[in-house]
Amino acid sequence: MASYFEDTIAAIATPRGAGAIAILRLSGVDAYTIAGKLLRRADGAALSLDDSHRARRARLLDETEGRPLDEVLVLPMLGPGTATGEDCVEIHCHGGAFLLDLALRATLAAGARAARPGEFTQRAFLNGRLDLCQAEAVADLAEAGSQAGLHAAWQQLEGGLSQRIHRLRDQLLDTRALVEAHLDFPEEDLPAETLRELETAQAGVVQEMEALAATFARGRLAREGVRLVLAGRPNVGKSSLMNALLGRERALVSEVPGTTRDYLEEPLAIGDLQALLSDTAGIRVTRNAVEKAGVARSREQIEAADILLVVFDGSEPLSAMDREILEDTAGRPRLLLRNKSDLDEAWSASSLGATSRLLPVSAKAASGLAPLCQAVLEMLPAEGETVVEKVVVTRARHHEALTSAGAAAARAGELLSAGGGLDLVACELQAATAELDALVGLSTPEDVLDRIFERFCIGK
Amino acid sequence: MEKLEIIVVGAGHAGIEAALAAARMGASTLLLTSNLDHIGQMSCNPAIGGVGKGHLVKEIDALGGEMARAIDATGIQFRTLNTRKGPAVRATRAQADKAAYRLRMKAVVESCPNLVVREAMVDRLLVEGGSVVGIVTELGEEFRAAATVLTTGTFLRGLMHIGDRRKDGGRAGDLASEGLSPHLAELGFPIGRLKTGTCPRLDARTIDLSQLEEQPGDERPVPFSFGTRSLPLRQVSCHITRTNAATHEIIRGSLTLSPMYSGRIDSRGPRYCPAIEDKIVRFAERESHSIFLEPEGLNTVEIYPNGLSTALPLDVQVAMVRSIRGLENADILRPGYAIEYDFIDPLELRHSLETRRLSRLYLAGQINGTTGYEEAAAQGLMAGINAVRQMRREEPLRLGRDEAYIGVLIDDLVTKGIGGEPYRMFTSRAEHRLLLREDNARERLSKIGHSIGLLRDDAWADFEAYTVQAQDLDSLLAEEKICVGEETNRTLSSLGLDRIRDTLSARDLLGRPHVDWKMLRTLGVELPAHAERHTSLMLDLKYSGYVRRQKELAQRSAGLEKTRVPDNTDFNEISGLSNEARERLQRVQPTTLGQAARIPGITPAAITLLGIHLKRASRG
Repeated sequence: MASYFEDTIAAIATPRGAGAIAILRLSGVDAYTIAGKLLRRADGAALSLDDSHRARRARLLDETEGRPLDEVLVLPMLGPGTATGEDCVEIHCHGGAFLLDLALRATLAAGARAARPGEFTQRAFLNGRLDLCQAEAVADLAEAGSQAGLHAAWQQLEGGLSQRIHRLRDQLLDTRALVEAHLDFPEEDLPAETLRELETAQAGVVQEMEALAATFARGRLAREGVRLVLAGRPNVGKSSLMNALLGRERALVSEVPGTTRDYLEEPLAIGDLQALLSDTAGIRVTRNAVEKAGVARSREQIEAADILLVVFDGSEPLSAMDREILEDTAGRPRLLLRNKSDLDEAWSASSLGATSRLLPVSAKAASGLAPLCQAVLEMLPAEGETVVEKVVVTRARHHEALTSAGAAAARAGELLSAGGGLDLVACELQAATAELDALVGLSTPEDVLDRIFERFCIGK
Repeated sequence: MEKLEIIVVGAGHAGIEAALAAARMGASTLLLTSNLDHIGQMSCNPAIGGVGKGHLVKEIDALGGEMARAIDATGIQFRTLNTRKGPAVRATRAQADKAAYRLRMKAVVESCPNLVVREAMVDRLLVEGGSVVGIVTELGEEFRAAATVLTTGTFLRGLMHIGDRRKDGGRAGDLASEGLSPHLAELGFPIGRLKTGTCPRLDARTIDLSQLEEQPGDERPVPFSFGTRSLPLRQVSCHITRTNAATHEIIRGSLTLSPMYSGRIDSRGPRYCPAIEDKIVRFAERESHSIFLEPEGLNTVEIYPNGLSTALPLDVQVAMVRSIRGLENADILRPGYAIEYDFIDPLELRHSLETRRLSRLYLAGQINGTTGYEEAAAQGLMAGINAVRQMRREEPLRLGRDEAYIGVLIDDLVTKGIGGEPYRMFTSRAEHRLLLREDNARERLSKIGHSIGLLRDDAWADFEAYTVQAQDLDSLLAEEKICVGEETNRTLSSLGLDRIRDTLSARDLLGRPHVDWKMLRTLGVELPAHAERHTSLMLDLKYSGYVRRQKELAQRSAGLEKTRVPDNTDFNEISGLSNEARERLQRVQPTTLGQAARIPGITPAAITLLGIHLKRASRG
């Protein structure tokens, strides 16, 4: 019996729901055998799967030797030159949920197993087709909701991040080789001046790691989207504003305060980023249990926001509740919106007494929306020079590893300049390298020794 | 002799430790050597210790081995290396009086109860049902025992080269063992070939030391053994000279005469101990290389010019030597030479140093592809211990990588092999280096040495007294307060230390950088006279943050280390593994997931697959 990792998996590779074309994918040792059982030429003869990576027409049967299900295009691909590294067959069917269901069931009946989520990518990783960063990028690529997200995922899949990390790791190993040479070969004629040059080199590495880690602020937004949360007391027009920003009627709007009782979330494109816009229940004291729960959820939303859009009604005098919200959100990244700017102003900007930017908008007249989007973009961490060769860190795991590596490397630098023990310097360098190793999934202590012997004449 | 229990073949640094360990643990032991006059001979340089190697010697001592005591009794120059580079890499190195060292070892071996030494060349092993039950000598004599330890050094089909001259031999003046290696190959062991070399020896009376830099020993020499109270021999200096353009010219002009460059030797030598001709070729831009003139003893004129290892023809050796400052009139007493010898791929071994192919057979020292007296001694000690433990049906003693350099050494050998060149210990091989210091070798290992019945009673009693002292001293330090005050701070400043703003314990102050026992005394802390002995207490305080972190790291990998890979695992059955990964796993037969992860070329993905396979297998 084929074991867990060599059995053949099958899955519909395209999204659920009706579409013109859908792709059924098989991967594993029996991919060809299974496909062979289910596919025939138009004249009913066996279909040849020779000539890898070339498409051919065929008829898909619903079970072995059974009724024809669909006219399909078949793409057989022999491993290891495939996405998973295994033999793969792609069957391009006509879309249609019912048809696809039958087709998938036919492959299962013929010996395939339904793939678990992410299993194709997992196989690619286990077969060495992708490293850890790249495997994660596949998922990101599929989920990317914006140009920036897509770009970051591409960079990562192409090994942009891995390459940067390998280069950094290389530099750390070079530094460590020199330090280790001084530790292990005290009696040799080692160049003492290079040890001093290390401080500068080390500073460069630290700076680069920090810069790379800093791209996470923006990179996370590229991958996950910007969380924009509308906040304000009830009935200032948050839902109207949401509809205006989305350009369609999404939120229920009414004159009755507290109409919105749960929060709503909708994706929205701002510049080349994806944003997630949430409308929250207005925050107010209420005895209604449902609305109370809504208010609590609102507070959670507000906590999770990247940018708060705090809405005030410009046509009515500021209430105590407005002021309370103003105070509550003071420490958060926020924009203050004076809604209903099409009506007469009931208060002046200075009466807010806040330092955050105040923008006039009108949900009703759909005015002030473009400046609002612009203001949002301006508030986000700059893409700027921190993006090293366009490589962006998008995952918390990468960010953490880079931050720890940077901190260890920085401590190594400090120890070097403070004249601390070289054994401790080596210890920090080792820790920094280990963090990077974990990022891309590597480790070989022999690397250091090889470098020593390449560079220095050792041996009395 | 009563019924023989352990046979040790070879009486070099590995064989001596193996035989002494076995006999001291109470096993009736036979030590066989091809030359009774050369027990404990130092074939190459007259020195013990150095960075990484000194660590091994201290560990051998802490477990109850002999090397440290022997060098203390016969050392003629002691130095602590790396004094400014951090306590973890601080290391002891000593020049030995070679003849004295050899004679001392011979006397120890001869006077050891349970141990018999015989001169004999071993020809083959007695194998019965997959087990080695004894040996047969060249003269046809048979010895049977419960376990056999082979420590053959460079003697297996040893072949010496000087220029284009070749001569069979285990080392200059000794016969090679011609029969044993083909016999081992017949038994299925993969045999490889390695090369090493040594320097010519010079006549001290023909060297002009007056123009050379003197390298004296430390003013207050620190011995290797924790039990040594004084060094008996007169201490002497080494001297330093350098090669120059003329030297390099002579070597370059004669390169084709060196067997390494004429194609006569193609086995690899160590990169860290290259012949002078290798240095000139590989680092052509270097204008000069240091040469250390080391006396071979107090009662001999022989000088070992460390750095001049060579296999060039004798006339070139003479010209080369005489081109060097101070050596213009030097006479060569013995020529330098290269030697090729057979070794067995250490991937054949278990962590106990028993071979997987044949049970009750242990290998230690250069036969495993290592180099160095200290590396050999460490393996010999462990092989001797484990041979006895096997005979007594006890679990083998295996030291962790976070426990001892000995653990790193053996784990490297059985996991990574030697990677094409003789294996030498470096501190950079130890990922938990800050835990493995010379000063705390006893704290790490003496309890183990005692529990296995090896460490001598007096050494154990001394260690116990030392431990009690350390605990008392630690409490005293915690209770003793350094009070803030103008006077205190003035004293601190005069000692070059930072002022203090709050009252703190002497313990906390000692934990700060640069603070030592003497400074505490100056500050008025009343310390017992023995405080200075407790270096490891002080260093643990100073590096507590780092030490804690390394211990945590060791803990983190403990999970992988504890996941056992069963003995009968067939790695070919694990699907998803690349063929390369399968081959390597099959070759090494790792016993834990942690060990598997250290095999070169085994990726985290492969470890994931192996882990899943083990889980599934254990679920049945």
